[in-house]
Amino acid sequence: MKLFVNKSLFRLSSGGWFVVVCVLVLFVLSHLGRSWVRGWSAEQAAMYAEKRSDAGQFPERLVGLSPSNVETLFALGLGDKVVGVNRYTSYPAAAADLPKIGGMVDVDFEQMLILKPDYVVLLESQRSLVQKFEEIGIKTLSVNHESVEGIVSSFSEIAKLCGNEERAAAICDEIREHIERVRESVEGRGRPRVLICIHHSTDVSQPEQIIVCGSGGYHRELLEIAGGVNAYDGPVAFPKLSRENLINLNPDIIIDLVNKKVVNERSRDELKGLWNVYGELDAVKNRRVVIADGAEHFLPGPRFLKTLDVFSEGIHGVKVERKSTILKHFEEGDIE
Amino acid sequence: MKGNVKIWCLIILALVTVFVTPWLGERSIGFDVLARPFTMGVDDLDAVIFWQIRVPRLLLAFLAGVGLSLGGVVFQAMFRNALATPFTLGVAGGASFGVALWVQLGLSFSILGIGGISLAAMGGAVFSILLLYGLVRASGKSSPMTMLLGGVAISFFFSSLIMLLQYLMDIGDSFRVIHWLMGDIGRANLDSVLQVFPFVASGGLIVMYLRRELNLLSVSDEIAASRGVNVDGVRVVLFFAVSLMVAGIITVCGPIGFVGIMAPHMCRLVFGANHRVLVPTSLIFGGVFLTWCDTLARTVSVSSEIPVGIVTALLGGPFFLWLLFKHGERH
Repeated sequence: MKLFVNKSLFRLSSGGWFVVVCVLVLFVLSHLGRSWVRGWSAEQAAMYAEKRSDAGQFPERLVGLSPSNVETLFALGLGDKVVGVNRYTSYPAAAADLPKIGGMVDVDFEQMLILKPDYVVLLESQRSLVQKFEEIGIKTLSVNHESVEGIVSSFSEIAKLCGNEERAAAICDEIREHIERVRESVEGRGRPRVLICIHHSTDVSQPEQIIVCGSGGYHRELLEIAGGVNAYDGPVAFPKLSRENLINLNPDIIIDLVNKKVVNERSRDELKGLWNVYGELDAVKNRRVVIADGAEHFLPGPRFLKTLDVFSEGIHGVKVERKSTILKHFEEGDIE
Repeated sequence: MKGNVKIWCLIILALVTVFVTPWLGERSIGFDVLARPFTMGVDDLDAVIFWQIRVPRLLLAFLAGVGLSLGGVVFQAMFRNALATPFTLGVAGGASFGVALWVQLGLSFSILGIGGISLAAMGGAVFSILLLYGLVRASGKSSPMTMLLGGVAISFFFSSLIMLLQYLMDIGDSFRVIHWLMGDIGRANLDSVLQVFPFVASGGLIVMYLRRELNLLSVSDEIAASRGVNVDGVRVVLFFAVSLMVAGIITVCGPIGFVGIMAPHMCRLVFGANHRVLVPTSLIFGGVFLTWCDTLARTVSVSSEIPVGIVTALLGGPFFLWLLFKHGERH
């Protein structure tokens, strides 16, 4: 290619050669510097680990870096040990008043150090933050809240760290048992195609900017447990659908998850009525649009059974009674 | 004010910035931390905050400011257009796409100690320039305006590709990319400072060396050629220098806008358009400006930090407008 080949370009003056040598030296020096820094950081991290691993002692100060983790900590009865929470935490009320140390991806590391947590509990999707925590000597525990099994095992993982495994075992049993009962109750029924809408604009006369559950997240699994199949079966985690996409998918049922704030502004009937514009859809024709409100439907934490109940009731009209146990109390705001 | 006095003022401002900003923050820290840079214990919170959070941030913000500002100076001179920056010309877009693609593919390797992610950014930056240059050469239309418009189109093209990648990513990677797109100086550490340093220093060195050529290029290619400048060669070298700087910065800090367009213009208004002065002054001013923006970003809000890109635009915008309308006519 003649584009950049210009012989005179390679005829460098002595100053030019000096610059080239400097550039090379800079990269070599930086490489050596980085190796040294990494070695030093590793030593530092080892020293932190040694000092903090007081054998047999459970952490006394915890930070939940996502709303679902904060809820999990409180459900496990560790609320009094939580010293900092995610900015978007709103439940339980006691957690909402605690110091906020950041959002999902932005963390005030200085504030974090001042709070002196023994452990920070975060989501696996926040893994890009782990390295910095390690550098400043804060231990982390990552849990996976992207699947039902991940949510269930997050209780035991956190409990193992904090020494209240009995309670965690009770919670896990409660969840597994309830899931099994829902599964049994919908067995043998048809499996309608359901679209779970997690966001659409509500300040206009029809649902626009519709974002639905796709291949990602735990909603899809909940849907299958509740006896439905996801009407969207493409590869995108949370796809945005146009009217034409909706017509092609033509779901039998639409479950519209909305925040409490939206329901405060517009009634449920009004929200349901918005979908009437899409009268060509079977779900709308057959009046199978379900509005489910509440922040818990967006949080893969201890209240996710409520979402499962909404799904099974919306799809098959089945209402599986919850036993009055730990999570039930937690959902009702009764926190020990 | 005389030129020399202004330059001394800028140098003093830079020194003040470097020595004062690490002391600013929610927690007040005593001067005794200076004595224990690499020996802090686990309970020595002050030293950890100072040496592991604030100092690396200061250094990284300063370096990023220097590089972005220099990128702006070079492109504005080469294209003879006030709007030319690595961002408007698609270089930053290409580098960002390289990083996003890297995250999406989940690769991990390094060559000669340079991380694969930096190489991906560099590759993206160089690819965008090759694309632009190739189009310009193929069409025979090489006016700065055509190149600028071509660059803008390439920039949009890459931002769409980034959006597409992000749409297809899983939540974890998507978080990582969003975080980084917001301009991510918050996770700075000594390693990231040393990672960016050779890129910015090399680019800076090359630009400093070619100050005379920049002066001539900013007038016209013909004049530069008549004075013995190998116009094409110098252009390629300068493009390479800017790609180096932008790729190094974008890999670690994400695309931080506005510094590249504003810092050079502010310096041009204050110090004049001679690149012998403009290059070093914009270099220092870019660093000072971004450092203060980052200091504000981390101190203003209590519960968390504002992305630095928001501060650069909020703080710089009105100041720039004031300078422009008060003194702009003269230039």
